[in-house]
Amino acid sequence: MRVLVTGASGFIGQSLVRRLLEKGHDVRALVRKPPLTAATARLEYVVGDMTDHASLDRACQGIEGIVHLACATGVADPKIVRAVNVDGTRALLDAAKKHGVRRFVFISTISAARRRRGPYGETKRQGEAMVAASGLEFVTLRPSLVYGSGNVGLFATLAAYLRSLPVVPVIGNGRIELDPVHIDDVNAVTEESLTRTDVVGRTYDVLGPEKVTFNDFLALVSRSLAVKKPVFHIPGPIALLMASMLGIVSKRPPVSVDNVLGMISPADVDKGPLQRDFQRDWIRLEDGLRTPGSGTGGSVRVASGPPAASGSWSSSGGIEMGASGDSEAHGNGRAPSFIPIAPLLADSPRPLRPVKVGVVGLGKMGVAHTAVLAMIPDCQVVGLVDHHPGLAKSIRGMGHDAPYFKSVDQMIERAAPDAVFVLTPQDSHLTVAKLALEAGCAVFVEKPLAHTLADAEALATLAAEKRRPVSCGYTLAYLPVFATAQHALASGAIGTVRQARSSMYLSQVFGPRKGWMYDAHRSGGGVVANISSHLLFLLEWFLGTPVEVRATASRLYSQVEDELHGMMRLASGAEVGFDSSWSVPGYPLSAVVIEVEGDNGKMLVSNDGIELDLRSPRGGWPEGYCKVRNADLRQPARYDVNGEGYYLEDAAFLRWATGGLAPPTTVEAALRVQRTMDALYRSAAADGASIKVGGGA
Amino acid sequence: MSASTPSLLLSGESLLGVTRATRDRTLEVAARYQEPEALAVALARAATAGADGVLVSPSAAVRAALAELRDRVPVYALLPNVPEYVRDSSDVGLVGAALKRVKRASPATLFRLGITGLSHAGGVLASDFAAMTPILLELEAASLGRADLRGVVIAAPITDLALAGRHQGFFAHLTTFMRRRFGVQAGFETHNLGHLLACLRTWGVKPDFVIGPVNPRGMLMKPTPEEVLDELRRTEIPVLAKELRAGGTVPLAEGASYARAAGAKGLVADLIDLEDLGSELRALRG
Repeated sequence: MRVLVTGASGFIGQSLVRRLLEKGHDVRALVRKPPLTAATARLEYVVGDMTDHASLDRACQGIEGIVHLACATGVADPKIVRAVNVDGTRALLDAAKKHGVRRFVFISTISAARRRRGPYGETKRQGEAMVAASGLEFVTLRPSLVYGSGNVGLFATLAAYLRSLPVVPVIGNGRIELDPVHIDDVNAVTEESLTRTDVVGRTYDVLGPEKVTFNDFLALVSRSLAVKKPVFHIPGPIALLMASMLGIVSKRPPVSVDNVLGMISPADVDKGPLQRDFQRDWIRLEDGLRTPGSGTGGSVRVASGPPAASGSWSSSGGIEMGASGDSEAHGNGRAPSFIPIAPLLADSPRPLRPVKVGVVGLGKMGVAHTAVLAMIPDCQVVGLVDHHPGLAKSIRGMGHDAPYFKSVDQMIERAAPDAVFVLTPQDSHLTVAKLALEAGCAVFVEKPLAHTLADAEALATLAAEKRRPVSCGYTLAYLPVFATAQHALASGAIGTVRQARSSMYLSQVFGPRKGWMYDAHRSGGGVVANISSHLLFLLEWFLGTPVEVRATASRLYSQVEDELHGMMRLASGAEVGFDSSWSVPGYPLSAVVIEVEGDNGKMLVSNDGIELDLRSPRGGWPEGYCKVRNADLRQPARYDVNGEGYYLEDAAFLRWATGGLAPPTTVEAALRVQRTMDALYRSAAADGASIKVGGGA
Repeated sequence: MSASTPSLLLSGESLLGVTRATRDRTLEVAARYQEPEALAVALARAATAGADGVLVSPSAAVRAALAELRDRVPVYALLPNVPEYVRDSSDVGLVGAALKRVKRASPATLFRLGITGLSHAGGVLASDFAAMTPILLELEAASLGRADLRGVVIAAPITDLALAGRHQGFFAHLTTFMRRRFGVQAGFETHNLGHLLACLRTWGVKPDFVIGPVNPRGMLMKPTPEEVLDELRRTEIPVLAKELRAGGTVPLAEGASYARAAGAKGLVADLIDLEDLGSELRALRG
């Protein structure tokens, strides 16, 4: 989901942004000052303010969900508090409605539930009412005292007082009861509130698992900080008077009226709905204070996920492995206690609105994709095209009721698809895709992008001109093992890459073969174009585009290459080996192996699983050797056709086509693969000469 | 059918090369049962260890192994042999692959094929999957020879294609056809158990059993493990659980116990799941 976070530089905001990114969301962070950290492909900063309504309008463009954290707290001037908390929230709601935002998560405060409310609690309560009346899908969360690491926020202030003041002032008798809640719990509930449909329209008091008095809480914090300071109590009425007076002389007094009321006025709260609807192992106070430093990490189990699994989903962006996750699979290595979840596997993708799809090319791939598309929610196949009417008849005979059309033109004109799947032989990809793009359709093209580099370049150029999503069928990216391996590499688990080796083998060609696949003029080549371009995509995704390649190829049985061996040099100077054959016995299914060595260790990934051997823990992966199998990983596809891949790639493309995030298999990435493939072929034709990728010898 | 649902089957599906186990394990098991004699011994041992039968597809290896057996074992035929059909079709196309099977059929099979073809002529002309599949079943079942056939099970790739098309007629007709034509139990194998059970419940179609993945890791339990478990609670159709070891990540006993607790009426243990075939099957039998 593309999420706008207001108040992104605050205590909760900073860690929430990290969590949302880890969970696979794209984030636009609304901040008042330009950030010191750089934006990334999935994190965008927008400078704005709750009082600058035009900036809110800009920030909401193209957004699917909003977490509204920004507020004026600790501010004495009631006009400013109102301008931010009431007028700003109203403007944000208006902008959200204008831009079709689907979900609005309002972070209110437990102060809104107090019997006596100051300006902050009162305006937040008004904000809650506006959100509820907005007509948007909303969830309102009222966190209690939130604690955790960070250098801003109430908890940080308390810790600073404990460290720096000789005597700690406590407002009131300190016997008021609190339900401190860990920031990881707050973030988990917030993230779920963005995506779950069963919590829409509800308001939750977000309270921690234990009720303690403020005095007890202070003692626990003191212990965790290893400080012991004397305490003196300020009677409530006096504190209230002091806060009011300080508010007159200071815009940001050290103690606000709301702070005082928070210490003397109980809140009417109920943690029942929260515990019922968000079943998780809430972080206990003692544990949370012992390791307050996560903000995004931790190892908190939640109730969702596989039934009674030996590994269970964690709120902290990974999977926790139980003791029994140790069988034949891990006989030669231990499974890590925590497996970070790749963004691609964070949820089961689906279109963001109903989408009509046309399928062109009804061979084996056409059958598989049509079956998958029929099982994706909100997807309707509206047209089938192939120059063999009998193939359409066969698919319709399987129960699909989409009409058959003789030509792509006819299908586009009559069925008006939003997206077109091009599943024809490579030499017709450009022609068909062009018709679809000209008609404004999003396009999915089976791999490789085209049979020639020129066609692939033309297709990518056209996609850019038309600004329509174009994805390429590099299915392996969507297999949980490879998606997880890429995530591990991207998170720096093995450090800077020094070298890599890779192979892809299949037992398919052991004699002369006929058909377009074995005709280079139609398919673009042999084993590399038809099979191991999948591996080239993974290498591109894992390691980046090589700058130079050398290759040799053999024709054993066909008119195209049956084997190709290559070496590729990355911009960093690291060398990557590439071996490919479809004429090797013992591989009834294609098998990929990639070994990568970096300055922090090694990774081996294959269709079977991932093995990591790290010198130091990084990216959520532990030090030493660990092994992860397919069954250990999240498998979010809702329908299986020869594994997870087809469903996830089709659903991720349709999500993109309807305004969601781009998947990794974009036309740009596919074009880079095509350039590498072209360079390998040119090198093989030149007896292994070094060829620059995208350039000459 | 009056026959009771099998509660334990030994499957040879992994020998077709399509498994969720590791490549090393797949190759190891393929090598172990490469000789027909070795496979025949395994099939016979399964019967004596208490399995109600063997779930096999018609391959050259299986045909040879069945021919080796002195005492026939109850066979549940998993049809068609999709991996072989796919391999053949990449050589000679789908029609060529079908013709290859017709060419090797005996006169008696061709006669049966003719009857089945004529009785499904309308559907065949319309390329209806519900009419085409019985012809394929005739060809493939015949290639098992004189097996002690107790059940015919439609293989998952075929089941799941018809399921994606919500082809109610396919499931209703195939259930009737398998029972009447072969006089045995009619089953469907699937990799999308939750979807299939939900559809069969909605349509009121009741095959004798369904085979699908159930395991404590939730692997291959589609659309989600929770929905599969819910359907297992609701269904009236006996479910035989497969993929008990979740690709080799849990012990067989644990997977079996989980599947039974989830409501599975029977178990399908594959050769790839077993080390000591006799004792492990006996243990599953209880």
